[in-house]
Amino acid sequence: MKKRAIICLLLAMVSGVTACTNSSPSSVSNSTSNPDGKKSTLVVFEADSLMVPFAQIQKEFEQANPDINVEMQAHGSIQVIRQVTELGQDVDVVAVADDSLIPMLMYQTKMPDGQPYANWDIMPATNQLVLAYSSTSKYADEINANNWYQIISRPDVRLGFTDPRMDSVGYRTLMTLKLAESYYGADNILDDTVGKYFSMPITANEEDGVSTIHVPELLEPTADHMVLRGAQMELLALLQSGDVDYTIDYKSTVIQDGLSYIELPSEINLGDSNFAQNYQTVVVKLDYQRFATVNPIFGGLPIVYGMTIANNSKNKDAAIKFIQFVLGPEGQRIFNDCNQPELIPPQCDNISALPDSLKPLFH
Amino acid sequence: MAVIPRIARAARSYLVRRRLLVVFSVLSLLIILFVFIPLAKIVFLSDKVALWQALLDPTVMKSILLTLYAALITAGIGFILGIPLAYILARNTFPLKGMVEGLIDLPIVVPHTAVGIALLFVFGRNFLLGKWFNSVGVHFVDSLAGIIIAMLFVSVPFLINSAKDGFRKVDVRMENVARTLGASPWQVFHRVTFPLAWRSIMAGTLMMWARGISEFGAVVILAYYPMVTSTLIYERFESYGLTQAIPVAAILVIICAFIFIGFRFILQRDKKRD
Repeated sequence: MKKRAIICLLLAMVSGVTACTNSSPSSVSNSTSNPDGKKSTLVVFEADSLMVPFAQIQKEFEQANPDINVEMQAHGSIQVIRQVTELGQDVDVVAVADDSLIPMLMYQTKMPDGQPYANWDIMPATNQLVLAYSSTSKYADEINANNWYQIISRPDVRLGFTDPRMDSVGYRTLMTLKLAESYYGADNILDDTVGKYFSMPITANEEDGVSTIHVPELLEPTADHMVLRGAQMELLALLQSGDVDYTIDYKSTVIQDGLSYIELPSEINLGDSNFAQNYQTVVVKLDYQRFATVNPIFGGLPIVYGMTIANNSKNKDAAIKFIQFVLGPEGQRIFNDCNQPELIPPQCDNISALPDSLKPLFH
Repeated sequence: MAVIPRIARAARSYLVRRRLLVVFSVLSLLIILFVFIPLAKIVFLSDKVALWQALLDPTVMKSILLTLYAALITAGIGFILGIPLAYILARNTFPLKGMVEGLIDLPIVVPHTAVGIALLFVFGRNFLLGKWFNSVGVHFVDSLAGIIIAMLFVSVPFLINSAKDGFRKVDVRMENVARTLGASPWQVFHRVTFPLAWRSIMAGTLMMWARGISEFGAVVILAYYPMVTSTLIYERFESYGLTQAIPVAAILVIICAFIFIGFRFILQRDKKRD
């Protein structure tokens, strides 16, 4: 019995070691031409809100490209990029929920050889913010498109809020709440829903018609009203368990999770490019030096997703195939099935820097 | 002149005689270094100024104290609820015993984010236990109670398994002798079994406490605030970067090192005294 257990253990170890030695060359060299039939690995880091469509894309992409093994990881958008630029993770494709993060954090950050981490930005998708809730949320029978901001201001309502220092939903929520003030002609929506519930409050000041929202260095909730989390995904679980009553989130993920929601007006939901000028009247600023080289200011813009290939990618050929797949008919069908709105046609900020095989996608 | 070959021969024969010890020592050294080097790197490579700042940062100290305290309460609850089960498992056979033992091991293997969500779906306000606790004013989201149930779930197997082994090692004949001398079952447990199994129980409690201190995945789902140290390290890392996260980790490592080495020392000393 004992002997058999030890033999099993040793066998497992040996097979583990051989598996490691087999797979490591593929992740190091990643030759896309596979004369020996070995799979190459493609590493994709995506925003949390893309998790559902990207899981399906992964499945179909691997079926269509049996020589490529896709490894995916989802994080808040800011974290997706920091995994590449600060932690030195080997990532091939980066896909984030805010296209402006790629120029802000990847063009301006240099790799050890002095080159930027990326120099083009493809925009494949859009989204809009809605107010998510469940049937057991407090005042669920009362809430509607006209009174939602009053209800989420009530101290006995538990409002889920994502840390704006980590996740794009967080700073976009602040923008929507600020925009709601002028839209509804109510002065203190930002303060009453979120701002005053922290030991160092989130405040806003107005200058030349632009409201700047200041996020302090320390975010510590002071009342049960405020349920803060580092990632929006965790809030959706709390919403389903009844421990959060409402949270502002992307429409696509709310639908994917089967939650109830209230549509917010186009003027404030950051989802309609016709109101881009209106969105520009708000800006979110982190009140401390957050990144070594970059001081980020998040401008009010229509929600557009961004996607790029990191310049230190070790498997550029597979990465290009992946982006072609996402922008191609299969990717678009999957986006549609997952209620993830596409940007039609997809855009690119720097076509001349694109790999040649991606250029034809942008005329 | 023949000194050097003689020494070499002596050394060789020593190595041959103690071959087992030599091989085992080399392997042991490898695993010790594997554990030691990363921890030492956290402590010694973190910027001295940042380390000092973190030490003086009230948020850091508050969080470390909260973590030690919450894990201690957790270990106390585990002690009260886990020891009876450990005793039953060690002394009795009953149908499905194997299943119970397997079930107790499960928290070690289930991914901790899944544990957090599972607990949320039992202790959340929409669910049975959560509803009941809510009616008496206890809730588990962003509260000490949430931290404790998360820690309890992932750490209690360590105590139960260790105490079970301890009880098994106690000779049943000793218990029988005590019974024939007129001790009641409670007296036997209290005066004979428990003291004899004490060292395993203490080691298990210590492991449980330690496991509680280190828990992150399950805690962060239930309680982002009040912030335990693992969450604080995560938050510092996510919002400021590695340079701010490492000193906090270093302080936790140093404090835990003192506590655990101290406990081992005490247990060892007691052993000598026995």
